[in-house]
Amino acid sequence: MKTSLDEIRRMSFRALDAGRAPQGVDEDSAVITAWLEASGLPGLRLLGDALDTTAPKDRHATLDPQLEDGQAHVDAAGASAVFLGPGLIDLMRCLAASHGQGARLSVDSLRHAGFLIGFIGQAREQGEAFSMSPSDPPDAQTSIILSRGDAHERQFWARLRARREHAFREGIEVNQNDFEKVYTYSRKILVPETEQSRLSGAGAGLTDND
Amino acid sequence: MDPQPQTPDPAAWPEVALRPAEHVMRLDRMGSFFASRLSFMRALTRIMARESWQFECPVNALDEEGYGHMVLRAVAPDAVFSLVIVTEHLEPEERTDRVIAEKWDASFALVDGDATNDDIERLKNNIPYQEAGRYTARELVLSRANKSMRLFHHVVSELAEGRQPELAELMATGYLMRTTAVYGNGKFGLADFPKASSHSALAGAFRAEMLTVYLIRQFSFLLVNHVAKAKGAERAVDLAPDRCRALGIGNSTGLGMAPFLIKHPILIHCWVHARETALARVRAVQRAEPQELEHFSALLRRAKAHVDQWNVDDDIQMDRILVLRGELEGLLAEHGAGDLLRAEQPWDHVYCRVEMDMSLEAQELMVSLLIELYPERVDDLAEQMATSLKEQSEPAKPIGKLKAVLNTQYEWALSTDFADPQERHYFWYYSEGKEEPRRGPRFEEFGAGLEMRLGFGYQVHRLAAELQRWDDETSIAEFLFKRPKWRSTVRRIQTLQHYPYGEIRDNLLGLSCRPIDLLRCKLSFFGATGFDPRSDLWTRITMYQGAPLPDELSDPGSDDWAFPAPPIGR
Repeated sequence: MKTSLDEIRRMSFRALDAGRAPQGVDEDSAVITAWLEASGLPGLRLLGDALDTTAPKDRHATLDPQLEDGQAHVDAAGASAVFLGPGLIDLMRCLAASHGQGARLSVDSLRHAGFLIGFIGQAREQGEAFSMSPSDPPDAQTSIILSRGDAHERQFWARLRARREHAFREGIEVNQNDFEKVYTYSRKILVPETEQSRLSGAGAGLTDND
Repeated sequence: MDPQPQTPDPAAWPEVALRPAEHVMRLDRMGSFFASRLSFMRALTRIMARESWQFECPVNALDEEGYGHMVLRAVAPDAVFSLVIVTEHLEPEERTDRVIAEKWDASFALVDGDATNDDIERLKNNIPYQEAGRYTARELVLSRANKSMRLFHHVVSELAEGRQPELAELMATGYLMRTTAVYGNGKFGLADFPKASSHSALAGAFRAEMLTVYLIRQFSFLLVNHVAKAKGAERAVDLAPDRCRALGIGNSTGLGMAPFLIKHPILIHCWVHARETALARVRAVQRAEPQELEHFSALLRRAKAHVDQWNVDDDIQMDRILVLRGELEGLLAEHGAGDLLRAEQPWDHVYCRVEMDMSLEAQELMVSLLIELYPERVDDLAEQMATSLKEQSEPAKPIGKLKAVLNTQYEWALSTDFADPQERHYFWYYSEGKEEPRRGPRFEEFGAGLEMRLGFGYQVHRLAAELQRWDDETSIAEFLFKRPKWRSTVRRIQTLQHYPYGEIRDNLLGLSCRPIDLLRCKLSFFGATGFDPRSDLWTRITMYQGAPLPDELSDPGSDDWAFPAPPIGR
């Protein structure tokens, strides 16, 4: 099915908000979900899977990085990049600001690590070239390393950019099952209707035959 | 040699100090804003005039009662836009302006380019269902409208009999049709804003939506003419241009519009900053030319006439209008006696005079009136009312800096007593009923756990308490690693210290909050007039009343349609 960037973002935000992701993490990861889909990458699948497999209490994952001379190590302990990604990219930005090319962040036991590609892509658009290795991590729990950008990756990012530009013109083709799963989660933000709420809604009781 | 350049850099116009954000961004003042020449409708009609847009009706497949479909085409120098329209019969009991409606008199989609037969067939099967349909990146905007039952059939009858309807009747209602939603920016699969804004004419905020409404207005005239012709045959006449000009398009708006102002703070800053900059540039004018003084006099009289025919059922708004009428009467008398203006900085003097002891309605009307006087000084600002900037956190900054911003810019939030239940009386939410935005009493109604994020003052209040436990030297990044739930609040504060007009300095959860103020603020930037509150949560307005018709856009004086009031002629 075809959709738009903003429809994916709005739906993903609602799914994360209803799923009790930390405020701000929901906003960031919704943007990244849409960014990934527009780039031809499975943002909705990763988000849906993260919501399926992460208990609500674990969605407020915190970071306790071990820092040493511009290098940091984080044990994600099986947390999903959907919930941890915003913090990890913040940490990488801080390391880069203080240690330049020497900045390096290693993360162990991270799930949905592919979701980080969106954060790195967005950072690149804002002028901060980071890279991740392995650059195409499996969805399973994995270890990755973030470091300053590598010029050899330009083609990879250019390819994603071209896909996004096409998506803006023509719409975004998404997997319908992935879309519907996140859509179902997004509906949980809606408050069940009651007769009282219907009657107290804006515009209720007004005559519109005039 | 003349030291003044012929076309000065707009940014070089002198300014007095801008009105501070804590003065402007209060709900009661925002709820007194008027449309201005920077409003989006005004900006769009200027672009259409400058670029000599052409308008056509390539498809008219309406039956004698006006049911069927039609296509209107707007041709810009580098683009074509097509409004596909579907009309159908609507029973009185199906007629509601609320989002929960499921059927409308007319539904619309604005297509990017020429609408092909395939497009038309596809849209005929989708736009009557509005939110339940699916759309593509070919479509920029989706909308729907209902007929004004007060006016539509009356106008048809008059035209069918070969008579023009009374101008005063038209002005009093203001429209033949009333839109109840205008969706853009990717909703339901529509094109995203970057695609719409890739057309230079639509690059500003809500331009595609404003174009849609302009075309709907034109459609409403074609529709009454079509039905009157079918009814009256040779006797029938078309609605005369001065009658058309007196009509805009109505709109009913509820809570759906309010969250936008909270969720797009940088954009709102751009809107308000442009308006405040325009005012500051006009107030800085040292001496007025005779034609400017004459224009001021004419506008003041027209504004008075506009307010004189502005009547509403809402007691609060009607009281405000009555006060405003008296104030304008007083200003006209002062002006007539030669006491209102002075030679040096005349407009600053006028503004200060109004601000001294007149109502917020009078102050904000005067802002719009003064801006109107100097197109060459302010019109460039209309192109600064869109932005692609996003909120951005500064994780490397220390908490101490954040605390300092809180203490200097959020006194309004920190001084609110949120322990008082009245200050958290309401929560805003989306209902399962067609996702209609609603507001309910927090301590009585179910669903507060799913509330929209509009209580920013309360969030700031809680964050300030949390930060007391943290050392000033700790970085924001470290704070957010440990307390990720503050990410959104911290980012907003860090961003908006650079965009002060982005934050509304009032508590939107409190018992005293009137959402109608938010609606009026946003609608004034659209260019709406005739604010007609039906409650604290709902208003009707008119768009494009007094605006030039498509074949008048390039006429001299066609941009002079502020404060529409009879007679509307040129």
